[in-house]
Amino acid sequence: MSVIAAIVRKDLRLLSIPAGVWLAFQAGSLLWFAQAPGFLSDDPGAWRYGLGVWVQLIGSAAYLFGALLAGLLVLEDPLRGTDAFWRTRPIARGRLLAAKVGVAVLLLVFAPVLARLAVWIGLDFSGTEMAVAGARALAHGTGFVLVGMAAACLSRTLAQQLFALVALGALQAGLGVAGAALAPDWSVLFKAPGALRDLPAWTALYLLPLAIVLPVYLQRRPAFAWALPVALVLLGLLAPGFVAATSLRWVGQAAHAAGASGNTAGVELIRLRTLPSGVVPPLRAWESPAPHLEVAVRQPDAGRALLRPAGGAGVVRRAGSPDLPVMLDRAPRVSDELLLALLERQRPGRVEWSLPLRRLGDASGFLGAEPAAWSGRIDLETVRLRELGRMPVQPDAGFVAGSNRVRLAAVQSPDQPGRPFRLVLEEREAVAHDGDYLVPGHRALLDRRPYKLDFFLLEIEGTRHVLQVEDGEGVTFGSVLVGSRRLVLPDRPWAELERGVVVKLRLERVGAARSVHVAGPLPRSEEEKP
Amino acid sequence: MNAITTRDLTRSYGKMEAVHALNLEVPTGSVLALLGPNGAGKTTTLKMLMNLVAPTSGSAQVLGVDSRRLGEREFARIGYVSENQKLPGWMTVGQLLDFCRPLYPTWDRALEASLLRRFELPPGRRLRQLSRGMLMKAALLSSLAYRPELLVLDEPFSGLDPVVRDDFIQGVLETASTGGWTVVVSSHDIEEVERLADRVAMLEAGRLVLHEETTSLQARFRRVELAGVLRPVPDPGPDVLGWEQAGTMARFVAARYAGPASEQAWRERFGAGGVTVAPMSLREIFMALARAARPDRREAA
Repeated sequence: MSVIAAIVRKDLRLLSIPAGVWLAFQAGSLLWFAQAPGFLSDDPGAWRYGLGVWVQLIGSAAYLFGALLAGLLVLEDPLRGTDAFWRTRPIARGRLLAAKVGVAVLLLVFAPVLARLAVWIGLDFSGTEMAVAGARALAHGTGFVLVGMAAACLSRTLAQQLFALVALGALQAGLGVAGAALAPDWSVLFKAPGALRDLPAWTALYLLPLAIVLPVYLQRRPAFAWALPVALVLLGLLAPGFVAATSLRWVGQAAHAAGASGNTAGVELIRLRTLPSGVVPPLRAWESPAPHLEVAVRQPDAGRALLRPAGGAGVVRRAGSPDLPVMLDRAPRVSDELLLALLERQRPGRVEWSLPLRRLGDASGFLGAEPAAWSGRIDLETVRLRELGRMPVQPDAGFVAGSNRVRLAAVQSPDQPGRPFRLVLEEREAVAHDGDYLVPGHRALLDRRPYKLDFFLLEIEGTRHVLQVEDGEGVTFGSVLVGSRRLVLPDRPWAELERGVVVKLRLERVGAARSVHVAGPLPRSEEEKP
Repeated sequence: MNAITTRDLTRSYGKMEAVHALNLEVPTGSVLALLGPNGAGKTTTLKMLMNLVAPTSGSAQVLGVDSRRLGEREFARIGYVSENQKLPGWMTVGQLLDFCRPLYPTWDRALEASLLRRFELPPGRRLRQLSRGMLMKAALLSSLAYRPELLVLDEPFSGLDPVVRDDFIQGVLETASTGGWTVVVSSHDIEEVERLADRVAMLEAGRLVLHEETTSLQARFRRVELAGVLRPVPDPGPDVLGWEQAGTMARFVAARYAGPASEQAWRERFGAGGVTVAPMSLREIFMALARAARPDRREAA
């Protein structure tokens, strides 16, 4: 038996009980979520809000315990101190690392996926779903295991490991936030794919722990042992600095563009229209089929007009005037009324809309006083439709689109004529919310983003009706999103269903909602009004 | 051929010098007792030899390799047992041996079985459930069964009862004698070491104050009692340790005893009427040297 095998066997013995409990906990919780009553009930929101908290808590706990187990693995043969048993045994550091990584991969990364596999199979996941969910679980598991190992590399005791774990977690979160804040500029400046936005977060999750684990293991006496804590502190301090710097830049740009007082420039009308893909750079790489927006603004009489983002992040576009940057909000709010109106007025490739502006009070900016500005919010809804799938209106009907599976879990007839029908739509989405684990050729059904509601267009025998999805969010467990959606249908088209006719149901995506926050220098004429 | 050679080996912790310019040679096949009171630098010295601690300056050769380059290959030839070493307490004795066995190509299962019987170690018992003595025996077994060329024992007798000590020493003696191993054992328990060692090195405040073969050491140290010393002796001389005088009686420890010639010289130097000379144990020699060094330390401080 080789040295590595001997260490692996020893560590498997060590972790057999705690890891077994941990795996059983994960598989059990997954089963619990899947079997929980209320999943297909009349009020799926209750299921989500009731169970979703547990899903998050248990999911986080599973990852945390995974990190602790990884740390236990390292602390079993500690790298710090002089009294470790292995230090005077014929065990090379490289072999020790190889053995530890082997055990971690087997027990803490692959085993949880295998434990979930049974549940996934029980839930009738497709091969693609399982592959994507497994890949995602492996990626996340690897990240947490690396963090746990890195924390233990810097520690001698469990208490120190916990402290290091918290410190590393905070550092990673800081880097992730900083990265997200910086990302839009990268996309615009370098025309890079949107996925680059997540690079700092991924760097933080994987590279930072690796930068700790590898040298500590492979150097007998790391030359920078003292420098590591210092570097961690510095990085931790820099992370919020990135955010602050980004905020300052936004404010600075706004103040600069506002120009000297006395301008009579203003934004009075914004026209919106959809454009074919490819005319302007895509918002994010995987959104290329999504419609894009163009903004036409009347040129200001003097100075420059400015459209500011409602949120901190967005994508800079230039349209109409070359000096006019337009920011698209990444956390939009949806106006049902606007959506309906847009749908009604839909034309291939063009929708127009106007925006009444309202006045904001004088505000003091970060870099000094800003002139009063006009401000408005337009809720934009793109209306390009694409068919996602077809299914008969009967329970358990479903279809697969890309890496998604949609199932009509229940059809609830109205208690009395004239009341809306309700469909409970179960959707399993084998991709991450941010689309960062998309499998080539398997697009997400809904291109879901956090905090965003989804809208569907339901077409029955050629008649279009807009459906509001009352509960448009799901919860993620076992690395697969399972959501329950309640579609409120207008009652009139459903008469045929009551006669027992199987009606063809067509679900179409209405697209992502967008908001644009508009602001500009206050026109003198408006300023003088009472 | 030396199993261990150190050249000006020094280790400092901040301003404190734990070991100062240590020059030591341990011939292959010898058993060296590294003696000294607590804090003398014994453990630090052994940790430097085992590449657990880096020397601040100087160097050490262990089995012909620079101690800072000791690795997998060398540790397969070295056994190390320390009172501070943390054994995996969750393992049983049998599991510990299962783990160690594949690490050593020279592991001798017959010797393992023999030592297991001799030490009366229960293979199914977890290490954390063992007494301290049994734990040290388990550590020793895991370091003897592959017949190391060099066995390093750091304070192995601390806290052991006499029966366990005897088992331990017998185990080391019998096993080491069969293969001509080099053994380095650090201890402040001289009586036990006396049975083991054929060489003695004594550390005092990080400095080597003595390094000699045991037989030679015991041959040159004597407890001396003088009768009929008629005058006070303010400076009894460099080879006289622990001079005490009460009336006409005086006693001291002679560090360079050379038989009747020395006795005659003392009669003449101190004007004594009678000289009684008694051999000393290692413990007595150690105590005399330690006491003699203390005033120097105080002066140095």
